[in-house]
Amino acid sequence: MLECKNLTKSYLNKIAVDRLSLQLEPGRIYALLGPNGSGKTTFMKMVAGLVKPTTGELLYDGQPIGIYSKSRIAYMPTESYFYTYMTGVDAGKYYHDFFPDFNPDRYRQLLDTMNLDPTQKIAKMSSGMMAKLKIAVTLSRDAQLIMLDEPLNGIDIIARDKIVSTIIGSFTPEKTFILSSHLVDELEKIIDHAIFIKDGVLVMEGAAEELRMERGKSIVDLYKEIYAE
Amino acid sequence: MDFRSNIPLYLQVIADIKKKIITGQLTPGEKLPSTRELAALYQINPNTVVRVYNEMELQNLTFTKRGIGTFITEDAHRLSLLKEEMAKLLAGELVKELKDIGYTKEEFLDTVARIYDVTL
Amino acid sequence: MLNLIKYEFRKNRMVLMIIGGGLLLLQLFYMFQIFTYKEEEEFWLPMSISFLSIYALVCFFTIFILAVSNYDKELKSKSSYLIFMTPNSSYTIIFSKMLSTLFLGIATAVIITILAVSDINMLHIAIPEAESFTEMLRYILESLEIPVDKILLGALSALMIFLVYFFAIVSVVYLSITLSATFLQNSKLKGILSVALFLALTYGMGRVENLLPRLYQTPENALQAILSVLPAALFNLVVMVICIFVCGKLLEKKVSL
Repeated sequence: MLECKNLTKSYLNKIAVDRLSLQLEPGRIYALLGPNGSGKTTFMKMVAGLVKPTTGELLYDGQPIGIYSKSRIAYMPTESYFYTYMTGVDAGKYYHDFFPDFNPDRYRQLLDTMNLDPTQKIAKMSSGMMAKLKIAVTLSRDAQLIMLDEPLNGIDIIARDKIVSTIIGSFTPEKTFILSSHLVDELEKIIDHAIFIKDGVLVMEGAAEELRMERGKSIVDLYKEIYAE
Repeated sequence: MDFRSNIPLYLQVIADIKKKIITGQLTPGEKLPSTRELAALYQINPNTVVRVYNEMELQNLTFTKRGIGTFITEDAHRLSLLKEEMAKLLAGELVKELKDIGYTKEEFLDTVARIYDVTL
Repeated sequence: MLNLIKYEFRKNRMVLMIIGGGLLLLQLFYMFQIFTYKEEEEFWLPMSISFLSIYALVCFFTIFILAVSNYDKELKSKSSYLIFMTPNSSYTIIFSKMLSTLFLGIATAVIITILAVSDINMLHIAIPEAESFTEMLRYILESLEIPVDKILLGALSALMIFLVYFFAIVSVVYLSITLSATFLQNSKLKGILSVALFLALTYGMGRVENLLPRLYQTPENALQAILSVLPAALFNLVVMVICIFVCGKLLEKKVSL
């Protein structure tokens, strides 16, 4: 479904993603793991079409990133990206206007579940509320590839459970999820496959269960081992 | 369910369900939650649930009615075997740990006899 | 594309309403002056006419600033995600921005022209002396064999040239901004380089325009008026199209939000 070969993105004084090669299958929940600045966000942005690679190949369903891929891929960035005039309702309308797979009823439902007032201005929302809104708007799309960049950041514990449940509830064998996070323990139980990135380079990857059995430790412990200073 | 990392997740879920069957929380013939529901309940990946149900069916503990769902078996013989299996499994783990710390069979049986009635 | 344009306008709703509101106020003020005109107290009427005239220029200035600063800010802020995540090609995206500016510019020109014409008519109706003054002016000019119609035509063609030139300049600025955000993104001098490029292109445009043939120095009729501005208009149009296409290409290949 998603394939990259020697994917590289370099900036003035840094190589954000360094010859990354991956193959992602449908029907799986992938965890993209690594500390801040390891290249997770840059990778996701390249898949989302927000950043163009420096070199290497990136294909979605066999096609380069473009209009087709953008219509099937939903990306939730870490930052707040809405226009300042927008309320929750406006954000929903925007997504409805541009994405045929957006479901307004599901959106209203999700906002309700997370106790968000759709009429409130986004600019006046707390960071926690903003985080919930982003999830709501992203998961209300019936996308084929869903990439959530730090979905649990800034969210209180109770809402985290709701979000994990929503992710689980959205899952179908045709969909693929990529969750990037450094809150690994929250995700330990729901991930199928773990991808560890360090300084833009792929360090380890494999099915979560197998990694646990081979190494005799949890993904959390593996994470600590890989990224220990 | 406490998550332990050195045992595959699906086995832990199976163990939990088996426990519920033995203690009567789940009754013979009862319908189990859907894949989605169980995943949400345990907060785990739906793929893991698929494995759970597949494995349990292989062990003849459940059966699937197409389009309806997965059900606990009503086979009484199988269910009594289950209790035995679980007991052996738990005992096996305990025995291994005790052997590791050098407990003898006699010491162990003695201790068990003393604390059995006192323990809840 | 239409949705993109819709949201371009929606983004600027506040500013547009303020500008429109200002225009409305000045227009009402002018009309008030017209209908309460007393020959002895002549001060405010000419003032309101000046206000309106200056305001017309302010409108275009504002549109220019809006278009340019919006685009620049957007490429540097996270709200660019909103646009670039949608299933639209980069060409569609930059076209929508250019088209929005075009719509806005043309609409403003039309509104101002209509207001100007009706304001002049109102002047004639309310102040009969003014009409006779205009008639007299006309008479004088015609007797001096200065063609009034041609002056008007000249004014109209000047307006059209201005518009096309205005849009071409906007597209050149878009190009500079786009370059800064794409091709030059890794360069430390990207600010200076993009400004330098803008100046170079504008200067180049000026030189080329001087070399263009001037078909009719003094147009005799409407057709000639149009033909005389045609080379410059076409040139500016070509510049605009090229700039926007290059922007699209750069965004498609090199964007890094």
